Amino acid sequence: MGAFLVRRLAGMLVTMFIISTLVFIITNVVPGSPAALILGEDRTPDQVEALNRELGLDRSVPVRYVQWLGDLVTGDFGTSYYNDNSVASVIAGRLEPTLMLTFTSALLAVAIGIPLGIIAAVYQGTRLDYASMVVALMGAALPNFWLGLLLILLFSLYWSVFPAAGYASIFDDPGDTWRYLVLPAITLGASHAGVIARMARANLLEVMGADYLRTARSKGLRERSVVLGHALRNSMIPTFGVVGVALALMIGGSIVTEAVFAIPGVGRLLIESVLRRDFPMIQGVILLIALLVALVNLAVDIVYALLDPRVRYA
Amino acid sequence: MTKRFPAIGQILGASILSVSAIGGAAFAQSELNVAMKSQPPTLDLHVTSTNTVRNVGAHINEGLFTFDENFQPKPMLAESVARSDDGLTYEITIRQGVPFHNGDELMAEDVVASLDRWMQRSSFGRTLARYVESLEASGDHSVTMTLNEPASFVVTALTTWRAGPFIYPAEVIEAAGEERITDPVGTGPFRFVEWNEGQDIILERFDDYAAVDAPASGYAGKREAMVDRLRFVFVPELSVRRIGVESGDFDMALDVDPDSFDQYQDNPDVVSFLGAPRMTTLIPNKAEGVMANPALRTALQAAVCVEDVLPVYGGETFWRADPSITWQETAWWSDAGSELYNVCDPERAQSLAGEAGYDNQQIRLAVSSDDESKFSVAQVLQQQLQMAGFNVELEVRDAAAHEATLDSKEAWDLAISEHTYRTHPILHSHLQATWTGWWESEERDRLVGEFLVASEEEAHEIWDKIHALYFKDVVVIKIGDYFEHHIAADEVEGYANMPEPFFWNVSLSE
Repeated sequence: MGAFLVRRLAGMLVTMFIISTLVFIITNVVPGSPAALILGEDRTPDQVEALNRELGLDRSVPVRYVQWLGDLVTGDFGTSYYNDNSVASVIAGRLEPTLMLTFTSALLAVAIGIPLGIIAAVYQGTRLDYASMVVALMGAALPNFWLGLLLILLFSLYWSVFPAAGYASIFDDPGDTWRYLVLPAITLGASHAGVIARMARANLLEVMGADYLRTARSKGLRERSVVLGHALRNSMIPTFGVVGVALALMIGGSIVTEAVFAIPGVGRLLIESVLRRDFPMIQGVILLIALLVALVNLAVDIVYALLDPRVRYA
Repeated sequence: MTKRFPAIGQILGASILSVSAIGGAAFAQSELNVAMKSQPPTLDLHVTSTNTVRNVGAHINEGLFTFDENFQPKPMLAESVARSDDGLTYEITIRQGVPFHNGDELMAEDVVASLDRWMQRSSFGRTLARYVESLEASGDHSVTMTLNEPASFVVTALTTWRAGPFIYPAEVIEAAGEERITDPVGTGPFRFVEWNEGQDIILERFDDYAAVDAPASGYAGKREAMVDRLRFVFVPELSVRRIGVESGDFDMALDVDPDSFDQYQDNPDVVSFLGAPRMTTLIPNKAEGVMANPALRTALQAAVCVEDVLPVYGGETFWRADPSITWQETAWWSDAGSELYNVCDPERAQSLAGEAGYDNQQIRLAVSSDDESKFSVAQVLQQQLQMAGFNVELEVRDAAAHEATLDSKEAWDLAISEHTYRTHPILHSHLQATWTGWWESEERDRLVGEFLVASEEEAHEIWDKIHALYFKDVVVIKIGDYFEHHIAADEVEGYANMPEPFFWNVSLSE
């Protein structure tokens, strides 16, 4: 197990280095002037030049890369071009809403997706199966921004149940946090619930035909015990992988949901930073997202390895 | 109730009435929530002309002068100003007993430090700086500005809002050095509390605020924080800004779509405001490329039909065809040269283009995809110009790439610009040869030189000449004016609807 972990961690470090280099190159070769956006329409060339100097953009890309990498090794993520704040502190402030949103959405996706998949598998070929899969498909197919706006319209404007936009920190006002999270979590969770339901159904069906289940049934076990006690546990291993992927996708994919609900998370920070060409911030956010995704994958691998010895020795 | 923007004075009159009507209302623990599209890059008012910065910052910091409802400069932190007979010395007396939010009293040294920095950092400040020989404190509460030649626009320049001379404590200026100011301390009716990155900026009432002893008028006169907290919330999604006001989450939303205007006519819970007029122009690149040929610019100008373009801004309430580069609502409005405005004659354009030697070369119209209205304007213009025989291609980029393109002389031929209002011609960036499009003109330099030192009456005549030159040189092709659209919940009282939104003297009814 120890050797497995070391191997995985080393792989992760290499991945992070490659990502950081790619991100740096891509952000720095894409055309765009952060200084022009900061200074506004009345800017003069010498103002742009002075601000570029202040931001360090007068140096060449390789020089900037070496400097950035050097700072990164010492834990310094740099300073935002746009508002002069430390990248690390801005990201730290924006992490909580994204993590809360992601975990709530993931919980919701699992809580809806897995029972839906089980029902569909158990009642395969019946109307219940078709109905469950239609719901799952709808969840997977509805665009986030559309579903989000629809929910805001219904629950904020017409029924005034939940606030339309914003976020309350769990450290300030835990009671309010969930009120702000319900609609975005449904929006983000819906598509993943659909995918998880379809995977849960397919995996369960695959296991349902296995020999050991026929044995269980022939022993006289009730169908409920067969499904919940024997089939489900085995079918959950690949489904668990899908949940891991969904979690990773949500971390990177919360951008639209955060924009619609004005949640100050890292997804929105990323899109704002790209539009402003706030290079240090883009690099910081992408590194963080890559790290979170890598960690989720590592966790999934570890759980796999614990569940299935074949993985450890492969 | 819905307010329009047919005449600013009318609206201001109505708004001021409502301000005075609630002047005596008792304060409750109250919060005014204003939803805006994006967060400002900084609260340093000197360095940028971006409007999000002023929307927030102008509640924290104040200048020596500000505009009243008729766009006349009025003292704010200044008590008075005396000009010497030779026009070379300005003695500005500062109001006594005005505290900063940090408790220190406003002194002459703060004014000198702020103006010095502003004259280095702000594009408008640098225009004034060319005329300033020296600036020094001549007493605890007086400042003397000596010019190297007489200039008529000193007080106007000191009244600017865009990247204007807002006053900070000297130690804040010193602490900032060459960087942006990160400690927003001022003398305004609201003081800075916190900036929750990406979420909101919170200000609260400054209890020791020293208001001007004069009735409120425009930005000038008595300012009073009528709510305990003023919160600017950043909501990028347009429909959510709107729904937020309708559902009561926000009290006001800035910059919403004109299409929703009609819908709010019948909604008693939401008040619609037509905001500041803005100006749309087509800018030719006069430095390099195919449009550097003045004769071809004249040909292109003849092909433009503004009435086909302006409806992209919504119903007729939202736009007007107007030749002037200066705003209809100010004394500087001019129609000199307007026979070349909105000519709308494709055949004439074609023959002029032939005479100019145009041989179907490609004309690159650069536009940003982030700005829906500019993009629509570009599409209509492209079609119009193609019909008149110009080979116009759209080059679409996101805002950051588009702005970088505009800074490069080789990269574009035509661009769309939407300018915010200017209260005085000198504040127009077009007048600077360094501005987008690079208008080099000896005649302009001579006229601007005369304009800056002329008496007011002469200045108007000179401005007419400069205005005619705009059309003759085709510096920009004026398309027309359009209005922003803001909405407020009907509980909001006393909103003055000046071009720059502000929220002192604004209260919430029970």
